[in-house]
Amino acid sequence: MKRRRIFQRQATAPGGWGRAVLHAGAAIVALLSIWEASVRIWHPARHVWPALSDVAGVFATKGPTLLANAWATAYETLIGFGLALIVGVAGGIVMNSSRRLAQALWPSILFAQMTPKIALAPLLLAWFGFGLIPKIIIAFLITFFPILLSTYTGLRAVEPEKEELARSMRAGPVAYLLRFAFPSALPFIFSGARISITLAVIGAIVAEFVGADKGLGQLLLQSATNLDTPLLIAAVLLLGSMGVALYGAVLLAEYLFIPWHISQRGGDRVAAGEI
Amino acid sequence: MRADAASITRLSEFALQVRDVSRVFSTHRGEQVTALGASSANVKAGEFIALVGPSGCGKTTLLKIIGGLLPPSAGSVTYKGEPVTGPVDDLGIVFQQPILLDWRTVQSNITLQLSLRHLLDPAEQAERARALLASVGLAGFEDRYPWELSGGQQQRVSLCRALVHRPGLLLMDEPFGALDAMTREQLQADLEELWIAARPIVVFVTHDVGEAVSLADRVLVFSGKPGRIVEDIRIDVPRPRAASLLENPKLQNYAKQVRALLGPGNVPPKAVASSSTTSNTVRVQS
Repeated sequence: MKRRRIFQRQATAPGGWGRAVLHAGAAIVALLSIWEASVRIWHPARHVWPALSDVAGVFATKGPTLLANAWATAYETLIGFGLALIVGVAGGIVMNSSRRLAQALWPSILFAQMTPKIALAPLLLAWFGFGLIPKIIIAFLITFFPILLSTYTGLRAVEPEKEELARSMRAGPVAYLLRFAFPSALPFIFSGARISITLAVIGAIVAEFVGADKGLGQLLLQSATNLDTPLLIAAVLLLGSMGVALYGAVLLAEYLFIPWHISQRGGDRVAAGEI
Repeated sequence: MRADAASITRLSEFALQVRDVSRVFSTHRGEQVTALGASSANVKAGEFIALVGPSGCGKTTLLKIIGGLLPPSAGSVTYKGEPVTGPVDDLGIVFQQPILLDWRTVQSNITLQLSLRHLLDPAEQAERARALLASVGLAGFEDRYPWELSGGQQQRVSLCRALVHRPGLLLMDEPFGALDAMTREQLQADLEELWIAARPIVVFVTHDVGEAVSLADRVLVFSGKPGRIVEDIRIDVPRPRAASLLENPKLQNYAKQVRALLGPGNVPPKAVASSSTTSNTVRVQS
């Protein structure tokens, strides 16, 4: 009867999803109203502070252009992030498997991490041109480290008893990793992924700033040059929405993959046995 | 322990033999710390052994060495005639914390033990898990998740997992130390019942003298640092007796005897603070 109750009420604020959406929606409508009202009251120049309706007009007239550019940026971000996820998790597993390897590799990885990725952008531009590849590489480089670090930390944080338990059950190294260590590390990996996905968007945009033929970053620069502020703001809004959607996708994955973790449990946080 | 002449001539009588096992750890400062002084013990098949002693006397170290989870610095362990070099084949283990996998249901936490050993088909695995759960009062909890259970319920699941493959050797490292007194007494009774039914060798580490004498066939008493076994006391009281410490003067005498060996200065404060009503009574009596 009470079984599964916690899954059904997962990750909801008091009042449930409906009310959360209502609250967020009300806040957004209020902000947009203030924006439109400010223009009606003060009448600023259009290239300085355009009205909400001007920006909405841009979405209507230049919708396909905006979407095509947004798609390019989303593509760079997702491929870069996806590669970082694969390489970061694999790297974390490898580094955790050998202390010697970890000692050998950490300084180089740290050096790579501490070097501003933007500094590499001109070089990548020279190598790969104005296409998608330099952006994907920058997005990858900027997101790789948090995922590597969180995987490594998550694997090292597995209780020693869990490892002894696995050995007592005759689990080999692969079974130990798959059945015990990796699931234990997943909450860490997801918190790394949350940080990474926000960085991935920044990485792609910054790489586009350095030189690109499409993408929202390129569109931002171009519209600023042309003093087309409504288009610029439309691009910024689209970029923000894209970032939120990508972050939401990571949260959704978290909800699907680690529903058992304490961060994902809804309802009152008490053991059912105590109710 | 006391030299047992018979054990030397009839080695095969003992399923588990611990010979002069010791363990030295290196600390991060590079110091050598003897966690366990040379210890020996012979255990017959189906015997229930309790290891009692002050904190840091090496009881847990010995437990892990017996299970093959930790290599000894010196000495040897044989189990069923074979030298122990890695985790023993038919080993079950229960820790102070339940160490259940949060992403698995109660039932699949238990059946993982069977799956990893490639024992039984899924239907039989489920059936065996269900039967065990029912025997510890958790029928109907199969599809719950560990975090939906209370601490005592979680520890029962952990016990089921340790027994589901019918191990010959069950290691328990202060398994009831984190539970409240009432839950602990219930679990002690459950454990005795399960042990009588399956008769594995149990090696049971505890701080609680009352718990040791009421559960074990033999209580091995450790000295303080560096720890080693100083006495081997056979508890000659018919079973079942786990829940009868309060009423049983013989058990209380044994408890008094063990306490005298530990000495008032050697009893760790934790054992006193966390002791159940049973061991408090023993203290009053002694």
